Amino acid sequence: MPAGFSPLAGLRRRWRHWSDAWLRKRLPRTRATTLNQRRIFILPTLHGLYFLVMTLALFIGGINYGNGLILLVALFLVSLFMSSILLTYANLAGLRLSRGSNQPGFVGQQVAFGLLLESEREHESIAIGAPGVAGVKLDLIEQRRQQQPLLLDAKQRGRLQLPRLKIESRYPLGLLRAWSWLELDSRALVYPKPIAEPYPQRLESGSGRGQRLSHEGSDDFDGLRPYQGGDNPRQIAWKNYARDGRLHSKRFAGYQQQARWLEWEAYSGMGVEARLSRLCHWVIQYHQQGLRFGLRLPGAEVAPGQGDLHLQRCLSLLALYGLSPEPATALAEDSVADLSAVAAEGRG
Amino acid sequence: MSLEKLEPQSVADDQQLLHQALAEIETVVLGKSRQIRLAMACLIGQGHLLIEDLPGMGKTTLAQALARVLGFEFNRIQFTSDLLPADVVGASIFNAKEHQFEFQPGPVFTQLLLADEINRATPKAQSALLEAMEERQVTVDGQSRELPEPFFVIATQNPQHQLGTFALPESQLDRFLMRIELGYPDRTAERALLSGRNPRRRLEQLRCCLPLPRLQRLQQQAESLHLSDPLLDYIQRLVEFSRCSDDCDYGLSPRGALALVQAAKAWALIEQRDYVVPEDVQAVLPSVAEHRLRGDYDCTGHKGVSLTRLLLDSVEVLE
Amino acid sequence: MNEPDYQIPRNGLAWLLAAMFGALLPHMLRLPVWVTLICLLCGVWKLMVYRGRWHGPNRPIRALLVFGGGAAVFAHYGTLAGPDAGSALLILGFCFKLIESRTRRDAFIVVILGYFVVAVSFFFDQSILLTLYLALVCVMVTAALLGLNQSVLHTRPRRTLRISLRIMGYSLPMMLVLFVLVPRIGPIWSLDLGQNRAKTGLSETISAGDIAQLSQSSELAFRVEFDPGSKVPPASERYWRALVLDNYDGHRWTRGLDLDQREQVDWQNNGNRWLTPPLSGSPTPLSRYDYQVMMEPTDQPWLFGLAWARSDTRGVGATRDFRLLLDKPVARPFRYRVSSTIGYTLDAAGLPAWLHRANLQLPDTDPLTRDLAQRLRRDSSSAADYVHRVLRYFNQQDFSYTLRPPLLSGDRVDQFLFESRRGFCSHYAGAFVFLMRAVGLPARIVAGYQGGELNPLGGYLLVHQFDAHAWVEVWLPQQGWVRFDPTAWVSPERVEQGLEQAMAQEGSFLEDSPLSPLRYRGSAWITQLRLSWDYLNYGWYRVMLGYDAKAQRELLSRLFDRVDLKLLATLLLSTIAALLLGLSWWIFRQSGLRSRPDPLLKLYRKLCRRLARKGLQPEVGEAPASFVRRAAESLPDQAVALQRIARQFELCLYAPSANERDPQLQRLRVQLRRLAL
Repeated sequence: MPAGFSPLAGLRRRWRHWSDAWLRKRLPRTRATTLNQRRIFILPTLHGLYFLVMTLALFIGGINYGNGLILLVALFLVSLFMSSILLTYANLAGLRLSRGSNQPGFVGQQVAFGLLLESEREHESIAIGAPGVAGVKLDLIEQRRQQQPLLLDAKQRGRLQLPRLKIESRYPLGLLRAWSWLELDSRALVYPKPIAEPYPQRLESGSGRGQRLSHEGSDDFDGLRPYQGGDNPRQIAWKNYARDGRLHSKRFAGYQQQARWLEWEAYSGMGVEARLSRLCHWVIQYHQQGLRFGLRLPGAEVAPGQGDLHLQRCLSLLALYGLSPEPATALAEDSVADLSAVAAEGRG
Repeated sequence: MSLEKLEPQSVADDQQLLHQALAEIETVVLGKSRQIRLAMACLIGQGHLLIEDLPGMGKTTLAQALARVLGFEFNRIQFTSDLLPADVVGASIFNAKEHQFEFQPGPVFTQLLLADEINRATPKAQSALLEAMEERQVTVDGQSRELPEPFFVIATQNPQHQLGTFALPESQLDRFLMRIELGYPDRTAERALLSGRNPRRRLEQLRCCLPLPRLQRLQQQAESLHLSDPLLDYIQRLVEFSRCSDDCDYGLSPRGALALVQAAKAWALIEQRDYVVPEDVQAVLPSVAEHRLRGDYDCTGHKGVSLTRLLLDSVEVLE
Repeated sequence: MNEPDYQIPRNGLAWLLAAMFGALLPHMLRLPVWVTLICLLCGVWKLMVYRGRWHGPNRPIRALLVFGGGAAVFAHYGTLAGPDAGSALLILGFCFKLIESRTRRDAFIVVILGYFVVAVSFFFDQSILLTLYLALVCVMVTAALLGLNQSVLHTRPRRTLRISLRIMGYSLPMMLVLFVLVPRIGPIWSLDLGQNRAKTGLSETISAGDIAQLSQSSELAFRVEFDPGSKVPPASERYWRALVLDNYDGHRWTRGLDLDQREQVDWQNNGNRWLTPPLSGSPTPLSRYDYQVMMEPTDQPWLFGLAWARSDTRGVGATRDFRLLLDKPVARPFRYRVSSTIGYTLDAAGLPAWLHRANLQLPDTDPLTRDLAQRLRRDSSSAADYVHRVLRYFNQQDFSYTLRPPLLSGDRVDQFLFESRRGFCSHYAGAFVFLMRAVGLPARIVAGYQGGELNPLGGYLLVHQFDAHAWVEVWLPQQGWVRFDPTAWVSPERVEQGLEQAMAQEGSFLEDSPLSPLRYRGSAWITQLRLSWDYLNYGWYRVMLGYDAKAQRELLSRLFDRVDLKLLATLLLSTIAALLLGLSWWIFRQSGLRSRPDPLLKLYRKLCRRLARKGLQPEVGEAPASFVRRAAESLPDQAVALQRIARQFELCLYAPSANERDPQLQRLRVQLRRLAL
């Protein structure tokens, strides 16, 4: 044990561990949930305590001066507080939260997690936040169904799990705070950070326009040649025949666009992340240039193709390369806890 | 012909004929009763069908059997890499005798078109066909020509990873109401196939038992089937789930949802019900939705959990 | 947060401003003008800040405001404590906090102060109108609090108001329950409300004109509610004693003896300390009245009662001259019980020498009056005969009753008796006592109220300021103190029918207040309206002011055998719990858009529960019919029934026969009932 070990840090760590475990058990990770009494916690705020103190002062005043009306004001405030307990609770209860569509991002940028809020009642001033997530506050008044993007900094490539969300409301009177924790089973992809570096020439195959393979294509008109027996009558240039009476066949060139391959080996000698970042850059570049390309990583590849879907496939492959398909979340959280413990001990 | 004028016996008759037709096809395409029904549902739902499987699985046989049983005029195009759009839609040919151009219609001018191995052709040829499917007319030399009524396309394609293929773009996949796979026959079916007569001979012997007017009546009937509120709720939940799930990059489009309803109605009709139940939706959902939902690419290359399976296993029928 | 969390939403600020003006309004009439002006200035300033025209005050100005305001209040009141100075300080603080508030926290403090300002208003007035008005202000303050907690983007003040009204609606039943059931405890510490505000009412001195002034006031002095078993005394017996004046300096009558000092008052014994038993054969038959008096604040300790009055209300004592006295000035509406016995002889056995002497005091003035007294005394056979001769003198000579008497100077009694001969009760009472004392008969002026208007709605008497009156008590041997009212001999209407009738010809009744509804007693519907309104007010006071520990006990003992703290606590907690339950039901019922659960769904859930006992559970995404059919497969003995049920579910849920659903549902119910699992 280090010399400056603080028992407080240990306690805090144990408390965090315990409360995390308790919350995880009580509010397990879900795809969607409806907030109810099992999930909502409620406590007075500091303002609520001030309010109660003032109410007590008025009550004593009313009693002391024998003033029934001042007493009545005090009792009104007490009732206001009590109905506010219910109303604050009701402002969260019945709110259905589920995951919406997530926007992937690159390392160093932000990933947008979609959070879908629905309800059959009105809800106001609902704050949603989580460590690392820019908090938001929203109303569900006319629109009883809203998708709210939550922005989270992408620090590491792979699947990013949405951290445990805190949904909080002090509406209507700010005297009480109702909150709930929500561990949403929502993950977004984080692509590697693109880093520009020239692609080694030796591996770059094919010209930009693709190589002409043969005359046996159907893509582009490539001129006429005299008719030979067996030529497809549909390819005969009938217009020429009508003009000069000679039969010609239309010739078509097929540009079999030679696919480029982005190779893992192109950046040999670099670390895994460095290679992925560079490949990522070229994937984006090629996509923007509208080229056909394929991506080859050790043990996995994306066949040549183009288009948005292809881009996504390539980026996903880069994002998930070398990672297990499902992130071991429990392990990850344990390691976070351990890290914090190490940090605490290091501080001590 | 309107549905109201039909005698009850006549409706029952149609049903009977429909099932007779299904039974006929089953004598040729062995052990694929479900796929046959789906294909029939696709026709009743007035949509085009895409069959995706390896060569030699009986794709063409199924298409031909359908054509014969329905008594349709039938054409077939084998798609190859050098296929020209003109080979599909037709071209103007100079008639030397009369000194004028004559339109020579392509194979697309038929009631049932089998487009074999559609992904072998270049995108240009593909789009010529897909345009015809969408518009039900073709334009040659600036002149529009109507396609016959009805016009169905049964396209087959080889699995994507085969060499020399041009994948159909997403926007064009959407034009097929259903996409089915045939798969290998089971043991008994295969045995029957092996021990039986030459399928080609049997194909020739198929009778036309569901003539066009009957089919059209069935189509009308399917359109008028009842959709209850709980069922529509269920379909909406399915669609919403597909849009929000992060396993699907894009959810089902409204057109996709409409296709689902169309197909489910046709399925219910085949099931001899005058209303649609969730089981109908579940039966057609994989065929209707799978080619419309694009999954998160799985880096290991094999198909993981089917997205439609996920949909079916996650969305409650009643809420 | 995507909005600064500390920023005050404009919506909340708008309501805060409205609430500020609303809360200040009742105080404006009462507070010094400069406080009102500062408040208005602050309000306008904040309004301009709100509209983005001006800046908020900077630090030096804020400091100037705070210290300047405190100093000004101190300079004005001479103190910073007490209700007046305290409320002025509170209000100034409220305004200052409002203009300087920039964060939600500041605004929250302003809201808290707002509630305080509302509550403090009740120190000074507790009428039903003010209460209704302040309820409105409470709505505004609550709307401000709600607005503070709404999103900054929310800019619909009327919606905020609507919601705050709803929240208040939710709270009101609870408030009433609390009001009825919260145990009433006495004051925790004693408070002295040093209030020196001018109140209309009797004063300790009577000189010409005082009561005439009161006669012009239509304000209510007190109400009297007689107990159910008790009769209402006739008008001629309604002499409400308040003060005894026994010292004359030639100009005005004052209180010579200070009998109100604490040690001279009988606080415990209901005034029995000075009681001598009534003589046998007393001239008038005894009649006893039990009643409660609800008086308006007078800032004086004197209470009102018919002679001879006893009270068992806490804090009420009896003085040596048989008046009722409160142990502190009546600063707010006060209610006490009285038992009076009219006709009881008091001090019949004789007067102590000091009292005797005090009641014979006369200045050396008015020789003519003294002559008259001697003359009349010589002709009288007895003291009683003398008194009657004097009364007859008033009756027979050319005296008249008027509220517009001429001014007197010098030997005022002489002047009145022999020259002007026009006056009202205090003139006659003064002259009468002078005449008594001049011949050695102990006598004193009693000031109080005479008469009262019966409100038929509540069966209670209304006594107004214009009922103020002065009469005389003369000590006669063997009879003790006997009440005489010389005014009645001049103007019998005054006593029998009240001031209005007495002044019918002169037209001077309430001539200064033309708008007072009391002036129009001739009009039946105005009177009806006025009495109804008074009845409402009276009920309000009874409930709000009269509901004390005793009333609480009485109310509850009607329902429960034993009323103690434990019962109160139990009642309180259970009622509140019930109310909260009801409220939560209401909130979720009213706001839930989902109508009652589909009966079909309920049936299905029930079947699911029954099948769960057999180990069968529907999978996610499994259609009801599929599930039931699956169940049929695994429960062969019920297979047929279950198959049928599955089909029925399908029909009910998805078949087009929506209008035939009820019989279908009924069939399903029957099938389910027959199902033996």
